[in-house]
Amino acid sequence: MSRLLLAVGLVSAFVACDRDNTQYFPQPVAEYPGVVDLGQFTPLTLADWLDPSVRVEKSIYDGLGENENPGQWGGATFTFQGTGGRVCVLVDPESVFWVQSVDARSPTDGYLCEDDNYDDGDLDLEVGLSAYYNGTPGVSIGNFEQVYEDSLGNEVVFEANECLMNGQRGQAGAHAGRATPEFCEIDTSLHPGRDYTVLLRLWSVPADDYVVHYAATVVELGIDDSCEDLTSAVASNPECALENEGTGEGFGTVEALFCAGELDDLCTEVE
Amino acid sequence: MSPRGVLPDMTSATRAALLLAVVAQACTYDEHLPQVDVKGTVIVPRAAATRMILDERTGVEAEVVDARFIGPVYLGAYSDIRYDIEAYPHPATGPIIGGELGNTYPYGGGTVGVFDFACYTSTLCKVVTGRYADYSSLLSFFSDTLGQPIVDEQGAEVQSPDYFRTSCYDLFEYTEDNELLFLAGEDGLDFKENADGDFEAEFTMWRVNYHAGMKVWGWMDAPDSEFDFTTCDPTNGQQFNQYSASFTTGSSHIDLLNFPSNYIDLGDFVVSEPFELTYEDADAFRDAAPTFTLVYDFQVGVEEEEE
Repeated sequence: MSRLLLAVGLVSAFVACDRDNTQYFPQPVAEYPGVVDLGQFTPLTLADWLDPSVRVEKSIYDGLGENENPGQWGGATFTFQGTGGRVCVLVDPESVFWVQSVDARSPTDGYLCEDDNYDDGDLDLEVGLSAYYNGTPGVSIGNFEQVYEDSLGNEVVFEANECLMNGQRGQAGAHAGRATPEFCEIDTSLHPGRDYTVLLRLWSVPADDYVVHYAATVVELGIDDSCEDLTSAVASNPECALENEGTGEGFGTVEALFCAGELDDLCTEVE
Repeated sequence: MSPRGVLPDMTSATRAALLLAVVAQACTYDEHLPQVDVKGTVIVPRAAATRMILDERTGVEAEVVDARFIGPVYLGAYSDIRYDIEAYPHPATGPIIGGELGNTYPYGGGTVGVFDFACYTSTLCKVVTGRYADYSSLLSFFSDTLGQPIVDEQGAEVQSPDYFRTSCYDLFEYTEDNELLFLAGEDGLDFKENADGDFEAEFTMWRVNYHAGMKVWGWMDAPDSEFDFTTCDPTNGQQFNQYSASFTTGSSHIDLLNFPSNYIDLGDFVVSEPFELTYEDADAFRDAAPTFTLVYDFQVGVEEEEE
């Protein structure tokens, strides 16, 4: 009996050795550098936004890999000029929308569709005047922290990131979780014509290909419009405002089903 | 000397004396803290305590001068005060972020009078400490002078000081009047009329970060015609949830000194001549122990009209 136990133990140990979990340590991908600068972006007008093909054509669709310098932030930057009014800045990283069956808080029993837990990345959105951005576009990722020196020579560190999102308890400065779209309104009325930098900070890459694909855009807002108005005008969910941000096989089909509200029906067992 | 050292050879009296000397020496230790307490006197003009009140019985408006009209008086220490930012003297500001006027980054501040909850929601954001001697003073001011009687949670007018006291003790689970900050007692009232007919009070700005050249400035929040104050946030303060009652007690906004222009409005009284602290450092300031007088002489919106 003890020999049998020993043999079982040895087999188990060898099987365990077969799993090294190195896939959870993202590696740089040559085609998708971890730090990129996308240059100048022209904000979409409301008419552009409402037209599905123009919305996609004029928005940014790209991908980000892991920063090749270990321990340093990765991310993408682009700039736009202050319009003199308010704009909505939005980023939608892949892909998150079919995790219902593994949602720890409210899992859907009997979910039939295969759930890919390794294809979600995350990008955090920061926006501010380019003059306050302390990173080097295309070389290293920074932030919007700056130092103000008052007339008596005292220095105060201040945060110039204007993209402040509220968390579940209303606290400012929150970010949406894994692969969830982030958006915020930026008031450029005091700085028309000045450059604003949008930073898409790379929070995590999917474990399947180490590249987070995303869509991002900037849209001019009307006087009384909000980002929520903008997304709800074209989609039932912010996730669906900029579709096809992922490139995986079948991504478009699943997202289309999700955005049409048909995914749950399709994937849930009829009792 | 004993093999165990010096102390065992001493008498207990000597040891006690030595211990006292060591303890006393500790009391002389100067930490050279960079923070100082700034003290002095604020003067608000008679106009800040004056209102035209309509007597509904006679239909005649009469001028009433009463220190209970004086709102909370704010003081802040800043790097500079400028005259080109707003239509009134205003602290220098940092960068403009997101369309909002820049932060003033104050070094410290203080008030003469703060908002306090006087036990009924009808008093929310209307009662300032240091203005009312007792329950009767508060009841008569709101009822007779303002024409806004205080009502209890059932909507009935509160007329009896004893009922007022009972409500307060019941709500806060207090047992003495001196636990209620809004009751100052005759000796605790902040403002006294001076020889010029203006009103003055002593102030202390605790623990201000001292910087040579900093300027102390402030403003008084004058109540509007409904006796409401722009510097009070009714959603701030202590939260009460008792049976069917659910309310907050109100408190001042948290960024008054950082963004004063968000709260200063027509009728408020602003300091036009800040005082400058020129002592070399905090130690020099402490050695001199100066006191200052700050005059709230600029009424917002009135100066321009007169010009």
